[in-house]
Amino acid sequence: MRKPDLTALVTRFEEFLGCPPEPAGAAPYARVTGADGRETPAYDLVRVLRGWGMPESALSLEPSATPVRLGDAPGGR
Amino acid sequence: MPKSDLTELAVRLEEFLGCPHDAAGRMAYTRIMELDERESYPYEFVQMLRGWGVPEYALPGEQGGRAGDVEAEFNLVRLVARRDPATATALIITNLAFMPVWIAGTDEQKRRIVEAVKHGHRLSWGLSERAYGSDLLANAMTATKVDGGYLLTGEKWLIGNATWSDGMVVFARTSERGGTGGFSIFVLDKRTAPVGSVQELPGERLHGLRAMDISGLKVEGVFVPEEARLGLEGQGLETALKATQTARAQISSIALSAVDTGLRLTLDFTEGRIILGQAVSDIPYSRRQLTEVFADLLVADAVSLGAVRGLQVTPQQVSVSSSVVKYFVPTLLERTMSQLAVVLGARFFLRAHPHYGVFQKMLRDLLVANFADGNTVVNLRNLGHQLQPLLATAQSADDKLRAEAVENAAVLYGIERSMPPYEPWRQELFSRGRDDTVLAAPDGIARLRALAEEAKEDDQRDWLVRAADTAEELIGAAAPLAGRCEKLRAELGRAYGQSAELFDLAKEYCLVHAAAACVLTFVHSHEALEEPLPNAAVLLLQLERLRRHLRPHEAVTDQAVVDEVMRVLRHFHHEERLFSHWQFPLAERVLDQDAVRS
Ligand SMILES: Cc1cc2nc3c(=O)[nH]c(=O)nc-3n(C[C@H](O)[C@H](O)[C@H](O)COP(=O)(O)OP(=O)(O)OC[C@H]3O[C@@H](n4cnc5c(N)ncnc54)[C@H](O)[C@@H]3O)c2cc1C
Repeated sequence: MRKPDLTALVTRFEEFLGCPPEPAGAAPYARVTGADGRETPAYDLVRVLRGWGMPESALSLEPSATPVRLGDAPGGR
Repeated sequence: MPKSDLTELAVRLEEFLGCPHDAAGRMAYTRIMELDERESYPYEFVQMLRGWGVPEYALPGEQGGRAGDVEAEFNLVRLVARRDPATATALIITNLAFMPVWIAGTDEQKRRIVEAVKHGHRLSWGLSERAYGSDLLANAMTATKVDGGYLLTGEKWLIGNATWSDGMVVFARTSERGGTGGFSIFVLDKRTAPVGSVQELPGERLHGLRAMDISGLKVEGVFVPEEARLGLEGQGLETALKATQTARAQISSIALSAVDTGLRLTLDFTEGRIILGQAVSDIPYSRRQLTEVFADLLVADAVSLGAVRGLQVTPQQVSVSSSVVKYFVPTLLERTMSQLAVVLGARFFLRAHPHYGVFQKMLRDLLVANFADGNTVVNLRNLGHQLQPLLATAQSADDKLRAEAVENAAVLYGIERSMPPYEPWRQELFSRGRDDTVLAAPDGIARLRALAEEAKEDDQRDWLVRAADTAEELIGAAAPLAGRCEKLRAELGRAYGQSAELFDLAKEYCLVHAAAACVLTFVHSHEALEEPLPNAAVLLLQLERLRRHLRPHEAVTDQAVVDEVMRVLRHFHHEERLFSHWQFPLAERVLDQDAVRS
């Protein structure tokens, strides 16, 4: 993707998410820290991101989804 | 207190508290972690330690306390903090709050408050305000003079034990114009104030020390009698700064203990964990990391030794030693703890692990040493302001001054040497260019070379010579530092005092001071240490750790040095000794091997 296109995409995404300290935004810190405090994954945020159309491959709610390999060094994980 | 007496006291407390891994012990990690998770104040531990008498070692003997040497309390707090820094903090706050009383109070005030504290009265130290942080002269709480006393109005925020305490020692404005003579200190007795006149602010939820009460107080025209004022009207700033010096020298105990526990836990893991056919401790890279952490702890221990003993030996110089220790030790040990976390690996991230879960708590708790009682930046600024005279004296000191410094250094760093009594009112806010640690460093290096000549074993002799060479290089950095300081001042003029470059020079000065502290501890405590200390390989690695701040990728040690330090470290771990020059024997460990291996 060319830089102007990536910038346009990112700007659209940022506008959709809103300012994180603003509780009325789509992905506010309040919800993130709430989930952290309860030690639960922020499922609702994942849904919001999916709703926006974030690439499916980057988001996984179900354990059965195709795993992403982290580091393919021999013997390492 | 002679080393043998202090060791006996430490052993008594350790035996009383028991092994923290033993769930049936008096201060068990299982309960400590439970309180941390629930963010519940550790009443039971604080009460138990008060019952044992820990805080009395920080109350003046003449007025009914048991304090002799400050280092007794400092080391008792280390033993508490290696179990739980939150309990240690909760416990020492009354003592820190008592410092203004000790410094500026009358005999009658001291007697009354010591008596009250011994009977369970708890104090907090109300210096900070929400709007002004470190800027004490901007503080807004006011004490307005009325017949027989003052009316106190304002708010103190982020105060340890503010809600839990019975009284707060507050710093308040007694002159509208403020300025250095515009503040005074009062003891606000919450229990005798009219109902509702003192409002406690909600407790803050914390990243570390989760069990602590960090809250605040709000007052609106509450009456405090004249006899609640400590010292003269207008003397508050001086008293507060002197009290803070003591707190700064003491708070490194929390950071030292957090890393002590971190290293002990990590060794439990690395000694038993086999990777690629060998124990993690024996993988050369991991082994080096472990020994480096141990060396860092001993560097921090030496710097703390000088700073804590300095409160009694060289009270005129504590503005330097307390700021060096307050900047250097937490900053160093924060990095050390991160290095250690990598050795422990994924388990450091597990909050509920039956053995290693404590590590992440220590990682969080140790950070308090960084900002409480004057953050690291304020301490660097304090050093920056004194840097030119300090460096000038380091270059130009005559024989008489050096001889005096050498004499003081022998007591500062000689753990068997007795000290003059603690008289906090003798502390000064500027050291007039004196830092006996740095002034005595050349003599320390000469003594090190003499020890090298006397050494019977070739490797010890070689390591001592290399240690002396490295120390000479590190301490020699003070000379060019003086030139750079001059140049900066000439270039920046009035902007010099606030320049970022000056803070960096102050950091380099701390390295010089720390290198000197390591050498002086070695040469002056040489005969008081027990096998396997003193050890030339350990000293060489300590100095390499300091040198790495200047030359991050250059070593002055080799595999043989690391192996020797590992031998020493294993001895400390197996023999259950505090990782310190004091080498206190700790409570016998009661380990659940399944938990250790899991
Ligand atoms: C767990 C905990 C316990 C505490 N206990 C107490 C207590 O018992 N009693 C009490 O009175 N207070 C207490 N405090 C308050 C604490 O000591 C103060 O908040 C602190 O000293 C003021 O510093 P600050 O980090 O709030 O920074 P501020 O002074 O607001 O400064 C913010 C930042 O500006 C920079 N800065 C500040 N000054 C300078 C300078 N001169 N030069 C360059 N940069 C600078 C630093 O980066 C600093 O971090 C406690 C706080 C906590 C979190």
